[in-house]
Amino acid sequence: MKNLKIIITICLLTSIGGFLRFYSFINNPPSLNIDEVAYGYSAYSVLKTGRDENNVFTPLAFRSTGDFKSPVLTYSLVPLISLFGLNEFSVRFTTALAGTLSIPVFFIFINSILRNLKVSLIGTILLTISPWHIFYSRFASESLMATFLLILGMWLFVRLLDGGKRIWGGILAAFVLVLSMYTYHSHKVFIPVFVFVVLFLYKKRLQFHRGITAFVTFSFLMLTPLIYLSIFGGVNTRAKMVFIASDIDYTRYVILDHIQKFGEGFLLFFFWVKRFLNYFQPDFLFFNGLNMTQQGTLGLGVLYLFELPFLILGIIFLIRQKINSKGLLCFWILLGLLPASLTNNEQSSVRSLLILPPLIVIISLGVEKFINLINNLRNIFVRLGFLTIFGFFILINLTQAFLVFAVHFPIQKGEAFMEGTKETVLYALTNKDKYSEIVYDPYRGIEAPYIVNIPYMYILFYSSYNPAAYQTEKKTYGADYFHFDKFTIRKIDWRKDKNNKDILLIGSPWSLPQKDIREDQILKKVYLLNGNLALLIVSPKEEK
Amino acid sequence: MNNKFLILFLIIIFSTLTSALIVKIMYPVHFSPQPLLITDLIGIPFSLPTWLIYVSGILVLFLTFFLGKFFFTNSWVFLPVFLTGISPWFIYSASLGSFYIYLLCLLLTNILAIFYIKSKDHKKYHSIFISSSVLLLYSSLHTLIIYPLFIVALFVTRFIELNKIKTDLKLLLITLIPLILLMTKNPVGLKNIYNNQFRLLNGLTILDTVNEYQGESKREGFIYLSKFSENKHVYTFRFFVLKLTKHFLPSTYFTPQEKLLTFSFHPPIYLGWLFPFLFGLYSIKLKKIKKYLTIILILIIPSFLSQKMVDLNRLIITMPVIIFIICYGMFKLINIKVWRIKFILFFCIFLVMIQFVVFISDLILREYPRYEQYYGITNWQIRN
Repeated sequence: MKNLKIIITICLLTSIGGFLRFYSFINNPPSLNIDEVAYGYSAYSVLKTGRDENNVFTPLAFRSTGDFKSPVLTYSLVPLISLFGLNEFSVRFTTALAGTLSIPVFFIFINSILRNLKVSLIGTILLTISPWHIFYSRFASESLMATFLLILGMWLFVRLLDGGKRIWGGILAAFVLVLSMYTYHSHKVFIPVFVFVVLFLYKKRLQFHRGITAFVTFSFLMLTPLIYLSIFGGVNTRAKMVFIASDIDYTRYVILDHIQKFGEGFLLFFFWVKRFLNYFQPDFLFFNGLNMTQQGTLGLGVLYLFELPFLILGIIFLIRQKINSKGLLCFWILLGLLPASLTNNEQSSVRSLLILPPLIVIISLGVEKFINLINNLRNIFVRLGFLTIFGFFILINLTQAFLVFAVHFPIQKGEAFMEGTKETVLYALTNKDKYSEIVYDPYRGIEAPYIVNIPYMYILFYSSYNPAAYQTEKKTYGADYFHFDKFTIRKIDWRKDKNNKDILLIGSPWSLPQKDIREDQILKKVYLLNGNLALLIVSPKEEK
Repeated sequence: MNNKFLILFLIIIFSTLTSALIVKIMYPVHFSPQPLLITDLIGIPFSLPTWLIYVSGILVLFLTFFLGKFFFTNSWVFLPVFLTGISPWFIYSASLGSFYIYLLCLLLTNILAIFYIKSKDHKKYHSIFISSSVLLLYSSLHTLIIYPLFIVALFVTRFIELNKIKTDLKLLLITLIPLILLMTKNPVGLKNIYNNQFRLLNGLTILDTVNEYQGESKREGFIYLSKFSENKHVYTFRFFVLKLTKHFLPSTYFTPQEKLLTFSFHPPIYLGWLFPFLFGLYSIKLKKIKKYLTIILILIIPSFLSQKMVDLNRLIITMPVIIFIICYGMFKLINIKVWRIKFILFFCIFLVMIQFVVFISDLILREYPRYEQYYGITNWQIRN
């Protein structure tokens, strides 16, 4: 009976979690971002030809837009695209599903490490409503998928260490954990180190049975291609692009553009420590870590503000009490922040997503402690008063989170998701035959043209461009210039381009200043949800 | 006894030499002079001379030594002085003429007097207590507000009995009469001082943000939800919580998260002391933590009320508490015979040594260009 109640509760939470992740996920975020269209088109290309758009046969690293994406998410889209076509639904479905399935898997995982049903249920509730998890579940995200695989893999691995001797257990644990490494770059660094640490923590219970042997053997077999790619392939290109030594803050303000070489290595080390501890800043954790609203205003952190006292209580409880898997949780957080802290971002909520599970476990311990403290209050009025005030505070937090997700994020951050690009691309595709050339300026932005779009990907995606044709047709590359078919991606200079006839120009008001363009030349204006003019579609014409 | 003073003397010389190096390299950068409360109310344009701040800095080290005697024995008594003397936070503040070094000096004198009153109860300690209290109250509006709270906290936490300093407090109240009269006679002056010192809500655009957010929610049909959860009270509360939590993060004190002097890359306290600090916190009994927490909450008020999220210049008055926790942590760690702890301790000390060398070399090679890049060469006053 008790088990049945638990199963019903978990099913209910999964349904609620699914609703929060799936509801209107096609429209919010308001547009597919560059990575999403890239995943989608690469998957479509593999589906149709077995090769990616760069003509590489079933790649293990997708060159894509030059960032060598991990393969798992892309390949997971292939069956969906074959069923539902190349659209927003197919691209976002897998991640939303992974996010939803994370909920029951997380419950099983917590229960296996803590063996505390109450804390496990609390943790599952917190994951269901976690803003961090919901945000990354609602659009195609390698990090979310990898975190789902990580939770699943860690559960299987811990089961193995707790005495699971079957070979298939070892193979399954190895498969899931290594698959997680193939899914997102951060996990390539985190998982090998973390597995070694866990083995060390469990050394007293460790026995080298068939399951462990199978785990080790299968891991090495699966990892061989990844190791090869990391050393000889393009995977390390990504690492070089984002490594902390290239951070603008470091180069410009710390070492002052190499004014003196002496001591730079040490300064880099201390800069890295600062970046590492940045992830414990309250503004990242509780106030604006998800960057879902404008910079400088108080938005939504990766955790709710009402979780702050629970986190503090949880940390105190974790330090002072004897708890199962204390070391596992602490090392998960510390090592999990290593990859994110080694990159050139101040704070990256996507790269640090893998620390969410242990954080939620600690918060859940804090919630349990809090409940015990409340229950120990003798005066019932004090108890009720405290609960009422705190309940009110939770309600405010949740309401504010809802408004950020439903209202403010699409309006304030639509541009970050390339809002408006789809409309312009669809217009261009519809009217393609009327023009000899369609020129798309990739630079856009309301405040300044600092956002770099990759419009050719959107063209490929929304036209379901024949991958076989794209792989083999002639393409012209230059500095800031790319041409294929009728499409040219380059900067527009209206002073020169206005003299070109029979072309279609698509760009922001920075490259197509309205005051210099006649009304009859402007074919379409595309506005963002916040009312700002994002893009113009213009065709130079002779003045009548 | 002579050896002890020799070691103390050497530490002070070392700290002074480092301060002198900073003055030479960073010239003419300095903190903007701050007038005393009493002179500001009277209308006399008087600021503390720089030499007095230098002297206050040296006195802080002496006072830390004598205070250390109440917590530690024998050779451990030098550790707080050493940690204070080499920390960038103290060195920068003392050498560049921070007004809060002077306040820290007075505060330490006052606390030391209380310790001596508690243990020996001689008349001279009472007179030191009263004179330092008067100076604190007459020097700054910050200390006028936090000092009474501080005294109340000492009674509430049962650090000292009311009977021991009852007479002193009565005398103190009498000495406050001229100040209170001045404040009532010059409300405009007081308001100006208040506006300069308490800038917590300056520059905040809470109303603009609230209006913008409520406008967006109204367009989508969620105006009532928005008024419930996105009003100015909620935003102000969130802002206060953010500000308060930043004052309790280790990264604020052990990394250059909140930049010293607004441009320096050096942390207030060396990173290597972080582990002893955390261990010190862990080792302190829960009852004592409540005591320290009460005192720290009061001492962070000046920084909390500044326009910056964390004002390290004002926050220096909390430095002795952090230093003593580090020393306590070190003391506890050294007494643990586990090799792993010994290794970690050795690594921490090694890290401090490296960081000190990096600090000196970076100071010579990059600190002034860093300042130039941030401020521009003509603007050489760091505003309080």
